[in-house]
Amino acid sequence: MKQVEKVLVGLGELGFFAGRMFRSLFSAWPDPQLVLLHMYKIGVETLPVLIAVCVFVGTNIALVGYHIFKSFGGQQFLGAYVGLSCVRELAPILTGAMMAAKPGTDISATIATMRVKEQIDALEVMSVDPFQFLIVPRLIAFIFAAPLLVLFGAFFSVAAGYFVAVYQLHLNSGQFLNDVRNYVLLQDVFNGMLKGGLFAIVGCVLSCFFGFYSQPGPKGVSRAINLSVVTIASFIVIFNFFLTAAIYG
Amino acid sequence: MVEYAVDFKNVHKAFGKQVVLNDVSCRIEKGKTTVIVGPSGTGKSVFLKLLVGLLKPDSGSILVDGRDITQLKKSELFEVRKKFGMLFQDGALFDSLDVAENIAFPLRRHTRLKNKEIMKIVEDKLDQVGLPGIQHKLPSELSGGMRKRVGLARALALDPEIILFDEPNSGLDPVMSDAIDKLIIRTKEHTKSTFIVISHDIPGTFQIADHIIMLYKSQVIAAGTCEEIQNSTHPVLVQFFSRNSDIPIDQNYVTGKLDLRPYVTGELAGEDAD
Ligand SMILES: Nc1ncnc2c1ncn2[C@@H]1O[C@H](COP(=O)(O)OP(=O)(O)O)[C@@H](O)[C@H]1O
Ligand SMILES: [Mg+2]
Repeated sequence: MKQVEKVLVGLGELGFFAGRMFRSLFSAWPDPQLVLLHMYKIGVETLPVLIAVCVFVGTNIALVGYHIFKSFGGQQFLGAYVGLSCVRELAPILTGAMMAAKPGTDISATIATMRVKEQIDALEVMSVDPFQFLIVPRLIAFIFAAPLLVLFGAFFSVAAGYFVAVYQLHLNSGQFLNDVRNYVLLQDVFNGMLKGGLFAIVGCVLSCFFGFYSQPGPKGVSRAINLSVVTIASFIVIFNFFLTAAIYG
Repeated sequence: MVEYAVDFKNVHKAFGKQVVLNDVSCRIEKGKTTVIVGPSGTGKSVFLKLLVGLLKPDSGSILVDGRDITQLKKSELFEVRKKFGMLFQDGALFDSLDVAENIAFPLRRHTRLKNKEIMKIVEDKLDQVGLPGIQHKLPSELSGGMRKRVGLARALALDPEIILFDEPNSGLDPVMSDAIDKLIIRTKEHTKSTFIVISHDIPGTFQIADHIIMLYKSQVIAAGTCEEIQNSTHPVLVQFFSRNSDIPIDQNYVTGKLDLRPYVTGELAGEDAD
């Protein structure tokens, strides 16, 4: 019973926190330089891992798809399969996950440390709104960075799939590309970017939340990081199901 | 006529069932140094946080220069807070900024001074706390005592009317602790500000205080000048100032041996029990 109560109270707090975050987004405009700094950091931190992960997921999607399609002679659909699954699903999910893993943990660690070392109180006493100074710049950076990262992820995963199809499985290069062009619509790309953006926003809110309400001590900091990664990862996967169901039925 | 910078009227504060301050009333004279003493866990830090509006009391009012800060909107509270400078227990410097930028932080946010002017103020404040020339060091490169001094320099940056110190001596060796007391006295001579100091360091308390307020078991049990307190026959006071350990003073603070403070007895320590 105590646990249930704790979770409910936590959800309430989270709702309140998210509300304040989005209100601050409109009322407490941060220093644009801070936003750029965070965008740059997100890019530098996330792009390399994201590309690495997307490349190897793309290769495997192509391999798995090939073996399934080959059994009934449908190899020519490999391009459609790789294109759609990467653009619609994998790129947004992997972007959300990598953003949670790199800049997300960075946020929860930084903010939790600031909380534990009384730096957030110090901000308040110096009449600086911690939401405006710490949280909103990161939220804006996430909102802008995520769709771009999804594009990168989609491009590299499909490209990796293409290389496997053409150089390892010796499929026709033109056929693969045509397939991608015919089946992957602009709408799909847009939906993928939107999904990635939503995952990133949720990830940013949760990372900030767990950091901001960190328990004292180094234990508190590690707990904040832990909680944010686990919660975001589970959330993304579950939320993704409902989103895909809602968009594509 | 005596003017009061701060006036607590029947302030009550509890966290859940735990009553931390129970009907606390006290006044703090303008331009003087008032030291708040009491065993650890009696709510001294909570007292300071109420004073700057980081926490809200359950009932009662808190007047700062005659204005009740418990009734203010956030923007008004931010305005009032510019009167305050606060030195936190471990300095609370921003880790990613160097010493100069830490001290410049409130100046950049609340004044329109040019960079040159700001750097001049930074230099002056560093001189004032006895650490000239360390502008480009990062907080992680400083000792605990140095971090507190830089924290003080930052608290002084906007020449606040009221300066708050949360346990400036805790976690320091006796020599450094005495140096901080001397620094507080010296800083007091420079400014007309009101000083409010939380302290466990008993000899230091008498050295720096004009007035002493004793908190014990959620209440103010004594308030007065150093002499009045020293000559008091109240048993708790006698025990506390004779360092009698029958009342539970946190040994970590008294011996200054452990500097695990943020992890053991920070303001949020009560929440530690998972
Ligand atoms: N934000 C908070 N939430 C819950 N309990 C708190 C909070 N801040 C302080 N407390 C509790 O209030 C009591 C007084 O704390 P504090 O003011 O830090 O004592 P001290 O006199 O040592 O500074 C402690 O028991 C602490 O656990
Ligand atoms: Mg304290």
